[in-house]
Amino acid sequence: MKRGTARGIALAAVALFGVFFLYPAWTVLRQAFVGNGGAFTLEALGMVFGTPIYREGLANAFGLGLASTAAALGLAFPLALIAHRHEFPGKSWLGALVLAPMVLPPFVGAVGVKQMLGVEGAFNALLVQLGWMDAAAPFDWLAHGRFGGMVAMNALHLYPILYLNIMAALSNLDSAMEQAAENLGCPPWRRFWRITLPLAMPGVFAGASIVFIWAFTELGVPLVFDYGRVAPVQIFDGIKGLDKNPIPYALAAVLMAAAAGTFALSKLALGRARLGTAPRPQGGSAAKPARGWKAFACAAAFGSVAGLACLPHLGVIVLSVADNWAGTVLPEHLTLRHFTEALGNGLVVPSIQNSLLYATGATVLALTAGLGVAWVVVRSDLKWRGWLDTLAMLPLAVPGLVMAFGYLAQSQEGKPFHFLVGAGGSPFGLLVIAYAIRRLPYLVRAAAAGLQQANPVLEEAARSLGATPFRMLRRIALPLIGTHLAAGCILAFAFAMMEVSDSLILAQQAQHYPITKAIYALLSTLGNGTEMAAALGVWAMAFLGVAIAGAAALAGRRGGWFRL
Amino acid sequence: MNLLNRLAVIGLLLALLVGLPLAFRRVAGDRMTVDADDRLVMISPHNETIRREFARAFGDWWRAKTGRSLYVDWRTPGGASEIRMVLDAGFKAAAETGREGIGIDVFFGGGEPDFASQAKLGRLARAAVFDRHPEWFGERAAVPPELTGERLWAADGSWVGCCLSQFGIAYNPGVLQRLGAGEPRSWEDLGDPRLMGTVALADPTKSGSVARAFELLVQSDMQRAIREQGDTPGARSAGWADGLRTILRMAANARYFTDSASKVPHDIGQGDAAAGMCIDFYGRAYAEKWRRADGSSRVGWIAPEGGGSFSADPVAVLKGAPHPELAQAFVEFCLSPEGQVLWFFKPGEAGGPKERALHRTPIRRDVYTAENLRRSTLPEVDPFARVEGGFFYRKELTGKAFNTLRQLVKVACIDSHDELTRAWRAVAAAGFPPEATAVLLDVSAVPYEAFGQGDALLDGGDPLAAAARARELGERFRANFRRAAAMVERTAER
Repeated sequence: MKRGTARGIALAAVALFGVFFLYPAWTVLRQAFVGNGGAFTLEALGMVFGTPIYREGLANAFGLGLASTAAALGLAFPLALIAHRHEFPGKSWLGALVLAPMVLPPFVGAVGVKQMLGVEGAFNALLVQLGWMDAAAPFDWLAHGRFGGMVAMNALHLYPILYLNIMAALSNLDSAMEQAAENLGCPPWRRFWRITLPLAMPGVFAGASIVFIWAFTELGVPLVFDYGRVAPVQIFDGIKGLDKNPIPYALAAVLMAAAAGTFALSKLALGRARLGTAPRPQGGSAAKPARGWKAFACAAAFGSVAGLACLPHLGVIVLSVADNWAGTVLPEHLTLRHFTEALGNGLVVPSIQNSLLYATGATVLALTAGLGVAWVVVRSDLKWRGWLDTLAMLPLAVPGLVMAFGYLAQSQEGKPFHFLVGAGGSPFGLLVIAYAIRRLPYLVRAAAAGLQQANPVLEEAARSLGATPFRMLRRIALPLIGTHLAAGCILAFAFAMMEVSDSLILAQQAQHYPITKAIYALLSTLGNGTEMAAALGVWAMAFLGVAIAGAAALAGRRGGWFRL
Repeated sequence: MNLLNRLAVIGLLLALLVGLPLAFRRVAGDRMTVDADDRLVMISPHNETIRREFARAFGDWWRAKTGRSLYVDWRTPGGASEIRMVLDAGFKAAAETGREGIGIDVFFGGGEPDFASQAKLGRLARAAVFDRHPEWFGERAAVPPELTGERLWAADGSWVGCCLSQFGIAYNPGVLQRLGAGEPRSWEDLGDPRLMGTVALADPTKSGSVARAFELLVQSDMQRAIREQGDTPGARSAGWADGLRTILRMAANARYFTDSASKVPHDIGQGDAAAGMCIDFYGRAYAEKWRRADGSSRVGWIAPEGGGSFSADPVAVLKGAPHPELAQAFVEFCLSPEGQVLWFFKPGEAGGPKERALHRTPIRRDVYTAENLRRSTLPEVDPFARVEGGFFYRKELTGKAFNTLRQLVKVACIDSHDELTRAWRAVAAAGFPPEATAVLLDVSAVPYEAFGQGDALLDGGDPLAAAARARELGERFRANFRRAAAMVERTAER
């Protein structure tokens, strides 16, 4: 890549980040660094490190991040390997079910977990019914062994990110290399360690870095477990407090720095594998039919992981048709009333249109910017490309409320982002940018992993034969990394559709609500609000599930996880 | 299945999914009428049910009065803290650009402290209802200036309460029975060690109303001490300490502190919590939701003995409102008899809500007639019927410590929850030995003499100094909790 082009793309990316990420984030986080007289101070930062409860909160968050990443990898890699190597009955359906955690709607997802695992939830009711638990002393699953529970829930929620990235990486491996090792007598485990894993490392790194930062800064799961001694919850509670405490902002800055530092260090250790010299797979699938018990074991592995991961979904689905449900395995009376009331609500139809617009716009923007950043990071020799890569990961680590209030403050009349507010107060421009910036890491990581695996010689050959950069991109590069980009786009789209903080704060008028805010509004209805929100959540899950399947069918006829 | 067939199936499914809400909307006839003649912009923490019923009722009232249609543009960023942040951002930008308003007409719902703080910042316009209907306000009028010691409208007319609320205790009789505990009657009952890990508490740092509930709890113990010992500094001090110890016990049993008004009764209904601190109308709504055929319910709600007052849930017109006349008309509607009965009439009653009951207590005493009560969902409730010896808020006792108290709850109970619950469990397992229990519940670091009129650092204008003070106090409480746990553990080892 020409240095001038690389520099141009990099500067454009830095400008985008500077204006739409660093600036709004700083306008909020600066409260941590401004003293009483308006002078710069590091006192609040000192207080974070000098107060045991905040140090403990950071350590717990770090522990959760590491353990959740390891657990998610432990789930995702074997599944991806099974899917890569074997054909088995039900593979297409089970492969699709693996992605279910990505479509869990906010707010009611937590309710779904509690419906299943609460003290008088369905699981305990089942155990009581089976005589395995004393009804007078039910076990409180969410209060005991909270750290393990949070790791398990994080892993079950986040493993699709790793699975998608690893599948994309595996689909780009030339199965001839594994076959050659096999023919030379290399045993399966050795083959895995020496051939498969090193070649799939870009995908593992791409997924693991996202999962780590996500789990490190995760808020929802600790809240479900009522676990307060973890940095993201301390930040959330502090920011929402009615006082003007600078500590949560200092803690957020520390969290961002720690996430960036961990990413940079792990990239030094893991992400510098010299790849991209392997030939492209010559069509055909590496998967061989599994027979007998092996076929059953493959299906069982997928089924059990997906089944566990879908427990919250199951809770939401049953709740959406339950009259009143507590203390029993299934509700005593079923009803479709919540669906008719929720879907008939005037907020819903516009919110569907809005969410589709916002999420599509954000995905296109994130794809463009992410591809540019990844290209510079992988293909250029700019000295500061590592910094750009780290910067691109930061949006994952910033608390949603910080960004949302940053955008809100700067989009007021007379403020720099006011031009993003459309006619009639439409937040389209604001939300597309806010969603895109926060989802950029998925695209950057996915594209970087694809480019690391793609042989640059092919691009250079096209250039030397006279192809323009655009033609080379269109005819050579994009087809080579298309699977990765599609994986990144699907993650970005799904998570943009289910976004919470920006949606609640920036979509102010009812006609501009996205689905998540419509769910939030329904949730507060007296009487059957939770059930109505669950009904709309079920609709959103179904829609997103079918949309993802459609995207997969369109985008992924060739190899990888798309063979649903 | 080939690609085309697969896409056809997916397209069909998508069409079906998109068609469902369209079809249901047509049946429900529920459409947003954005292009109405008039538009009123309101920011509100009220739930969807209240917003819906009030938008419809005021729309009808406005049409009857003016012949014009109305669209209410609700701004609902979240609860009290999100609303404060939105108002802060808007008014800061307005001040910088020389505008008076922020494009919002009315601030509708929340606690009196939230409105008082906005009034103090000069963001609220005088409500015209005080000039148009002076006969509604006064000691003997429909809306008195105070009830149980709480202000019902601002003396300068910047805000006015439009209904009343009261914090109380929601509980699940089945869970309490399983735990061997009786139904709670007072805040002290939430400190019963049998409820360990099953109490749901509201977070006073994120809501002025919740902070007021904690203040009332402390004041209730102070008033008891004053009744028993006379109004002496010693009695005030002892009562203050008793109140703080009650809070520590409740917090030690707490499962969590939440800023979601509906989470507490929801979790109680589900059986995840046995009892908790809950605002009256959510308690009543959940009691109705879980009502069984025999009239019993999975959720009960009571006002705690001697520890609760009725506080106003206000409405105010924001300065620089884009539609000031409409905004003032809305405030007038809220205070009118038509607006008032909406709060407590049964759904379907003439003048009542159309879809769901709001379960709230109106602020006008003249609407509590026998006929209206019969048509309401609260036939037994009349906040203006004074119970002899009932609780009366005395501002001079704790009013200045309002913010200090909520900060104390934060540092001693919320920030230190892990240490507190660990120590509570250990001390309870040891049978509450007096010495360890005294250390655990030691509140001598925050005496009434020093904190009862507010702490200068916690309440001061320097956030860094306040944070340092909070850290210092938090460390002292945590040291106590660790010491109490260590004392019983040492005894057990011996």
